[in-house]
Amino acid sequence: MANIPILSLLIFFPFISSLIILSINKNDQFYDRKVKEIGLWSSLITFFLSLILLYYFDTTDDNFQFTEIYKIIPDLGIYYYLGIDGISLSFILLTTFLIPICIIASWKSITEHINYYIISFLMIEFFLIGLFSSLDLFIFYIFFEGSLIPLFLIIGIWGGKNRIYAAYKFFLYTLFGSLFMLLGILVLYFYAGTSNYTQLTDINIPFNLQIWLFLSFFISFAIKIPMWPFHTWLPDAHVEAPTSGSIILAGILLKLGGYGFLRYSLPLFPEAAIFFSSFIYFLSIIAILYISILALAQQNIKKLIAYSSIAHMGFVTLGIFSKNMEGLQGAVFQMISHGLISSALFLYAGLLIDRMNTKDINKFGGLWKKIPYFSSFFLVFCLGAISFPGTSGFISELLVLIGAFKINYLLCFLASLGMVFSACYILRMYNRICFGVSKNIKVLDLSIDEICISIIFLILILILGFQPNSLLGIYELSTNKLIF
Amino acid sequence: MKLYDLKLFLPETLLIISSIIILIYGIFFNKKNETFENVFYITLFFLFFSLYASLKIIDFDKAYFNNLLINNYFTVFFKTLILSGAIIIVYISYNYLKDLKILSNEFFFLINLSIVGILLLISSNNIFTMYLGLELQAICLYILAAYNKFNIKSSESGVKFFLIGALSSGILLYGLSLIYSFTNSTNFADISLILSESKVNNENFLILNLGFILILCGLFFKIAVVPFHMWAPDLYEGSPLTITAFFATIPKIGAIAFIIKFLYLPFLPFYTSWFQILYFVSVISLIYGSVVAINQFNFKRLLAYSSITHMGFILIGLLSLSNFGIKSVQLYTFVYLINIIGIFTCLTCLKNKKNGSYLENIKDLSGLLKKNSFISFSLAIFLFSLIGLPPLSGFFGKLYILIGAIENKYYFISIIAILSSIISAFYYLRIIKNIFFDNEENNLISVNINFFSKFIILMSLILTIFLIVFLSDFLDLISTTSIIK
Repeated sequence: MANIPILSLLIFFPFISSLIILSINKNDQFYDRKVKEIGLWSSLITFFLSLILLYYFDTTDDNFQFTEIYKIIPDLGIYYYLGIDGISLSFILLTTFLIPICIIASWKSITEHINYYIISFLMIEFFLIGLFSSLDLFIFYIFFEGSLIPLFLIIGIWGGKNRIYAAYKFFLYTLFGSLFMLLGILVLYFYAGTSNYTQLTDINIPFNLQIWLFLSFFISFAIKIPMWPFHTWLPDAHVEAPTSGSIILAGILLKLGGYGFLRYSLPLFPEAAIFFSSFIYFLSIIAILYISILALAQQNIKKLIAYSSIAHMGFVTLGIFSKNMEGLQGAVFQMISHGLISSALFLYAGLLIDRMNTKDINKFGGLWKKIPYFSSFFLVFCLGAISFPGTSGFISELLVLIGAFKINYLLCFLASLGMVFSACYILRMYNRICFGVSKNIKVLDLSIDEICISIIFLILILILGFQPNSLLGIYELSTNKLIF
Repeated sequence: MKLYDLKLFLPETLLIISSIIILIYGIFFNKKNETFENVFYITLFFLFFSLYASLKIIDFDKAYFNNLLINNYFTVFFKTLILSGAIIIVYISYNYLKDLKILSNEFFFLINLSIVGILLLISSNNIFTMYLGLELQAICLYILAAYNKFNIKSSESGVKFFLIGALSSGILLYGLSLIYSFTNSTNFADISLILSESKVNNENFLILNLGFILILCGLFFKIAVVPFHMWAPDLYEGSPLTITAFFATIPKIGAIAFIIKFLYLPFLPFYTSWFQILYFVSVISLIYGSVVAINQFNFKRLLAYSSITHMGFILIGLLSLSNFGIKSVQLYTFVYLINIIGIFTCLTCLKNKKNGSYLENIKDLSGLLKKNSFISFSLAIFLFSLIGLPPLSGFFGKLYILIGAIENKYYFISIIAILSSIISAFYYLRIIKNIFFDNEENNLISVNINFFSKFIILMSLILTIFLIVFLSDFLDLISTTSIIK
């Protein structure tokens, strides 16, 4: 195993398959079908490659594994340096799992420019896996920023009515944040003389510099995750994005912020992280409470789920900056579990919107009788979103709350209020959609392939809910390194 | 003058020969319905030959023609860039102007001669050759700007450019005369020597400084940075498409090369004063270029303002007075050249179906994706690259400039540069929005790509996307050229 550059293989496989898609003859009769099949198969192969990664990953070793290092710009000391630990492995698995789902979810609904659609998703996969496995600040930045382009095009080309505004807002917000991070990276690079992550963690940075660097990284990650008050781009982007765009956005792209906090902000600027932590608790509590109230007032199903995502991300930031074992483990668990649950919710929202041609939750109603399969699966995912015991959401929020409890009782109390609120808005949504008077419209229930996808999601959510150690075991040592 | 000197002067000589041949050919073989194919091939042949010659001249760092000119690795880099850019632009212009039916022998003659001027400017080692080169290229450019004589805007832009250009040349000349009156020398090395001594004496420092500032003003006119930018938007908008591409790249790169040489060689003792001027000009160019471009609806006019921003970026690279700074400027100009050429080549493939005119308004590009996805995605990638998104080439240009700036702790200007990139992202995105997201209004676009245009676009695409792969090799290659003596 040691000789095969499996991480590079994993990163470049989607890239190469998108090149293959470009080279197919467009006049072919079955062009669209071929493109979709190539996209699906290559993303499935990437998923199996990542399972191989999981198989050979040594959970008893807390160093970076599968490391690869090649020079890119030797005179600046910038290396193509890859390696993963438990946290990155979990996110890589999430990414490679969700991309095939995205491609299947758009199998029928996307008809225009299908080749570029598939290529955009493969490129996102390429950038995301690269991002999660890079250990050089510049390489990280390249992958981090590069993922903007495909998602901008996905929202803008295949999005809804108000897509241009949403795409602009998404792009400019994120660009604004990440360019300041670039400045921070450059300053850090010149202070430390290296951009190599493992060397950077050994360097003590003076407190004054740490504060500025922390802030420059914080803007970028806080916009990406997103924290209140940087969140306004997310509801727009979600509402306008096509279903699979929403899945990838909620499933993985929001987690880049949390990953950035875990990977860079905490280990590199520990004193600044302590200095700012009460400020971040404050923002997280506002995100949990205030955004939950906002979610209660939404009529648009996608907007409601988007706001719920922001509230759930509040738990992530709370967990990360509580900096104890439970908080950190809970934060990572929350990101993975939210990646599954919110993707399932967006998938279902997309199915509903495709079937009923509306996004307004008041116009649905009485679906329980008409489409029972749909409603029952939907119920489980909704229960996951309100962190019902037995689903993965419960474990994660419980861990975060324990972590918060260790810091401050009040913090824990306020955060647990968020769980009550989440039950309010999610059940309200479910109530409006599935119960009540049924409208006289013919609706199709789930097809076989949709049921298959739902079962996969269901199994994963339940496994994580009943056997949290299956995931915790992967990243336990990596998060324990971050405790201080 | 020895015969040996002529050998060093070979690239320029070849172009001069080529322009003479073109003129003679035009007199003797001027037929009706001329397609100018022969002239075109002659020009291309000599440009290629000249490129080859400029790469093959072995005796570097040798002054020739009595110290009037000098060749070194630094000049070779910029000459290569300019000649290869010129070859592509001559090629796309040939098709474009032929299509507009305004092609003539004079076009090739003027392009050739202006390139001679630019090459002279780059390798000049003396005030006289510098001024000679500057004027030779400028006069050709005035005529080229007004080249489309049937178009009133083209004539207007030509006259405007001529008036402002002549004024700037006058200012520059006055500055040069002031410098000469104190240093009593026209040679750069001598001027440098005398200036560093006179700074110690500090007697006539004020007047010397005045002369120096006047020269800088004249040079800033040439690269169109704020506050000397007024001519650029009108010129870009008025002149024919490919000639705009020429203006946007070749003379500017030449002027940048000369400014580097000029500031780093004879006026190095004035570092403290030109540092402030460059800093100021760069900051306001970054802000002005990005803010004003927001409200532009003509593609060429927008590129004019965006090029002001790019020039602002390039000036940041010069602040640091290091080899790394020069290297970052070289990388930036290389990337800028590729992207601009790519964009203009894409634009020459698009026409209005009804009246056969070329598309110039951003609005006209609406719904291009449905017509031709290759052109759409190429344009998008070039524009994303100009925004500075990784992993495209534009990012590395900006990254290197910013690395240089942060290394020397120019935090303020780096933040301004970053803010201006965000603002400029807005207007670049608007073009992308028109291409990708808007629906075609009245089905006007017709796309016509010929083989070589596709080849050029593909090459620039490959260079833009995969620059990261051969970046270190490229930097190794130019590392010798970024040393200035």
